[in-house]
Amino acid sequence: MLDSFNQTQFLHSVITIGSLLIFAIGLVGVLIKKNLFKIFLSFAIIESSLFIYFIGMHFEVEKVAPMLTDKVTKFSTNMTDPVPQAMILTTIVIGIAVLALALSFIINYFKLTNNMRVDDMNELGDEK
Amino acid sequence: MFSFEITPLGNLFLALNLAVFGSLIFMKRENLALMLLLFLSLSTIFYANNLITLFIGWEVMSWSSYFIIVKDVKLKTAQKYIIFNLGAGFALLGAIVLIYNFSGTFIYSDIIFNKVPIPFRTPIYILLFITIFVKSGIIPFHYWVIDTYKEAEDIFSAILSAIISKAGIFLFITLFIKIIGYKYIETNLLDIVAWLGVITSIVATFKAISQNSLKRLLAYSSIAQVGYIVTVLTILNSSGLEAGLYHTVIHTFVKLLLFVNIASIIYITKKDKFSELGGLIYSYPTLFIMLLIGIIGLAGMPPLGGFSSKFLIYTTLLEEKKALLLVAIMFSSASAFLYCYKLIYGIYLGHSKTDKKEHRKLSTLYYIPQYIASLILIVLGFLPSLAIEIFNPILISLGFKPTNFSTLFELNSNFASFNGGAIMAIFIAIFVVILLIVTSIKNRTVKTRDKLDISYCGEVPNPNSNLHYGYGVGEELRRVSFIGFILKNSVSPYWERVLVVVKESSIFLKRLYSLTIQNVGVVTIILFSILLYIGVE
Amino acid sequence: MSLLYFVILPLLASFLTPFFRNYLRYISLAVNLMLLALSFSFLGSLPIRESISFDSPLSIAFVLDSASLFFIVLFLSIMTLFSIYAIRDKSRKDIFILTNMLLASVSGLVLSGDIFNIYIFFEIASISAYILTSLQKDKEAYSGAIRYMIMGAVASIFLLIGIMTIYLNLGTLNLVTIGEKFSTIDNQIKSLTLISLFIGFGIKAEIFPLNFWVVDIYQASTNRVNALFSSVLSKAYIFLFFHIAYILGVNIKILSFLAILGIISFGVSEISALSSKNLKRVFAYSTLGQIGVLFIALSSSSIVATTGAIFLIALHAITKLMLFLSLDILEDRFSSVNIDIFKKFNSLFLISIFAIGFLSLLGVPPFGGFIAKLTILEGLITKSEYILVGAILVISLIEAVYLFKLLGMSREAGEKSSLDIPILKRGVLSIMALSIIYLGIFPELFLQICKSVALALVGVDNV
Repeated sequence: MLDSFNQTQFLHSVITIGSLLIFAIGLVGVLIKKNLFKIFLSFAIIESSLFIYFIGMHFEVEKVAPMLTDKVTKFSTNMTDPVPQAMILTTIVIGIAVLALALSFIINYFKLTNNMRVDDMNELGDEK
Repeated sequence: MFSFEITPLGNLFLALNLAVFGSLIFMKRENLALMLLLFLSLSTIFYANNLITLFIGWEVMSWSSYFIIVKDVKLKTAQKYIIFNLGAGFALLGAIVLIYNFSGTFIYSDIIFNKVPIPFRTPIYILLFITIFVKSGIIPFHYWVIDTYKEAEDIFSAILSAIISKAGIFLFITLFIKIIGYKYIETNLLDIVAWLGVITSIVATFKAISQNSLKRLLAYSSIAQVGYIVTVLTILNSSGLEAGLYHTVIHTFVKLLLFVNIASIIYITKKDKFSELGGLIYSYPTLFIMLLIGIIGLAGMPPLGGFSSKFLIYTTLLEEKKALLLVAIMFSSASAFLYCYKLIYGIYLGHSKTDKKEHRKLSTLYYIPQYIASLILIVLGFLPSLAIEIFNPILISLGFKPTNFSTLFELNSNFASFNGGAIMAIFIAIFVVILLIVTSIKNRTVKTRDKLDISYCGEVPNPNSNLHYGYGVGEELRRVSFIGFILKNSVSPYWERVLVVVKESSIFLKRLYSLTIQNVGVVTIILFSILLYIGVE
Repeated sequence: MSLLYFVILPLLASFLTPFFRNYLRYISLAVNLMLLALSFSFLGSLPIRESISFDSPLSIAFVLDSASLFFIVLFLSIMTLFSIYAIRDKSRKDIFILTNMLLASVSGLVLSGDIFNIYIFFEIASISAYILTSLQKDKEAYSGAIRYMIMGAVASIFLLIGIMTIYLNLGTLNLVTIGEKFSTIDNQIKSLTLISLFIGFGIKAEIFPLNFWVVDIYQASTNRVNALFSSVLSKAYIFLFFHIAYILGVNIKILSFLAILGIISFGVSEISALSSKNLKRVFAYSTLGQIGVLFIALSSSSIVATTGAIFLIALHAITKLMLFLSLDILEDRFSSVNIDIFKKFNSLFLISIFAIGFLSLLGVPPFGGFIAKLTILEGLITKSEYILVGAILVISLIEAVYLFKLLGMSREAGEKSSLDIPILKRGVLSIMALSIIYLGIFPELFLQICKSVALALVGVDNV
């Protein structure tokens, strides 16, 4: 019976719904949370949802991972598309780098102003 | 982009330009590079063969004159100056681009205005008229003129009034007569322009009478005179063009003379208000005679050249049967006598208010422009058709028939003619006779002890009242309801309102740029959803 | 000679900093000049397509056509002038690490031929920009950097959505192939893709509803960084925006939407600039306004207007570089960027530089900005866009109000102190001012170049 769940269409729907939910969680976090850390973590959550969606939509049930092993000795069309996987690996790395940079900015900002809330960031802006 | 052509019209205006700059350049010690740039830009306008060259000259004139005046005037006045002039420039650019759209070229001789479809012609005319009005100071665009003329350096006010205000006139002639061709413009718009010119001259004349500051009076007078030129140029035939050109030439030299004279007075006495001046004829008789010649030219009285131009204006309007305009111009011209009188009486005649020991010595350089200008006025009084002979090539080049004249002494128009030489000869004869009579009885008169001794008068003035009644001319005019209405109102509230509206909207819109970053994120998400809903096709 | 050098050499110079820290400035200048020479060597053999790894459609492609070459030469020249200007400042030499990274990433943006590469270079450029914003290390700088990062993260998420949608539906990342196949997607998904890409690129290209963050960033960064942002970064993103737009094949409705956004952007920025009291913000508003004009010009379907837009891009880059570097001199002297500092200095040289810059921004002859504006207006009016032309002229008049207020304040009488500007800085500023005047008086050759760039950008079949 579980085999009926093992179909590409079903898996795609699950992935879509799941990633939309995670996207929504992240979106709510970005728009509503006031703590700087939490905003950037919500961005990371949104990006994760996009990654899951992208990789998931390229997954087909019968296909194998695009790697050469002892059993699979040459490239064939039985492999899933390697391009999105390469793309997402790169994007994950970029996301980590940006998050680390954001973290360093937040730490330095906190050292200077003791403030972690986005609402109270009022150093910039025109004087009336 | 730059292309030039030597035309008779350009030659005339360049000659005016050279006369004004040449006589004044030695009096300025600073800003020489900017003055040279101003001179070159004016020459570029006059000799341009190409709308882009015209525009380049126009804009360089605007900003080079701005940089010259910005050191002396207040910030607000400088802002008014540059905003109005740049606005005129952009209106000109709009008109140029529209003309280019339909005729495909910028070169004057290649533009066929026929190709512009009818709905687009009126916007082009309106844009060009806005440019001309701003530069010439026609109401309601004159808001910048008065303060600029008053606060700029005295010599530069002469340049502003003498030649820069003529740039608008040149634009009128070149664009409407040469390029657009006078056959295409419908008469309603021209009537409105003519009436605006006349209204300007009436309002400005009365405002001039009531001014206490020397330079403001001359500034209002400039606007009034250029109003005449604009009105008469709307008669787009050869007599109108002739009258306009004649008055341009006369006005250039008259204002050159008057402004340099005023500059001399201000330099000598360090005072620039009528209430503080008086009785200078005894110390500076030469300056008095110069101003007298200028006044006669300004008011348009014979025997000097001013009469010829007024004569041509009146006969042109009469010929075209524009009776109301003629009456209005005559009214304005007659009222102009009042401020002419105020000018000469308030400074030179009456009781002396300044102490001669505190006067500065005037260098001879101040006299040269005045001599040149009075010489031109006298010559044109003698030989009024000398100017007509100069104008005939211009009329031919613009497609009109040249005017015939029998001798240089006579000025002909379709209604009447007068002989300038004869009038001048009679005037000189009478003047000499009276001079002889006066000098012969001079020794048999009794001098009063003191000009301030009024024991023979019927009134007893109180200690504070001024015995010098020259400067008060215009005070009692306020009681005439028509004039009082003119004097009480001005266009400043309306222009100020525009400025206030723009400032308020600026403060309102600026808040968009000070949102917190999360609100910006919210805006983005909302935008995304709206666009997604609307779709792309 | 490979196209990769444009990306690799500056990155190498940046990453090998620990070995030659004191000489980084000179090495950066040398790298810039070498790359300029390299780019001129490519002049005869355009367009060049270079593939790395496999052949298309699987490979990474670099494409050099006349539009990309123009932009690369422009960015390299701006960087060279900037390096010469900043070469003597020992205290701020660390800016060159990030400047090189910026140059490498911006060259990559312009050169890259497939969309994921664009995303990568987009992120590298963003990271360099974030760090450049925070260079001063005070609380305004960090505040600005954090805000920039939040907006940048939003942009990259939308961009990622767009790229993912494209790949899911078309199966390729190569720009040329995407262009050919894009019209085969059905409308809903095309909508989603175009809108996500619009928001993603539009946030960085600073168009109206998406540019509320820009002015604060300019206030937070130092003036040299602002010069780079205004001249190099924003131009690169505008090029990218329209490059992708013309490749994906936009229709008239989208182009008119972009033109409307452009005019609103121009109007709102210039009106807001009137009441601002901080000079960095005033110049930021001015930059946003010019970007609005560029959007109007680039989204008209007229080659003449696009030529004018390319001309304006080059000219505006030079003008803003000049203005921000002059503001840098003023800020060094007076330690404030309030409008009042214009009343306090008395240097004829600097006033002429500011006057030339402002007059060129307004489009007043005989400076280069006039030629750009005239060409744009000519192009717009032949497409019968009368309202746009009128609006541009009226809003330029509003722009004149605050720019001339600054000039008028500087000529007012009052207590003034003189400035001491070193010869090197004078030289660099004069070169820029002279080039603006030269382009105003003899623009014909440059207009020809811009026309071929415009044809390459729009794609000959879209004309």
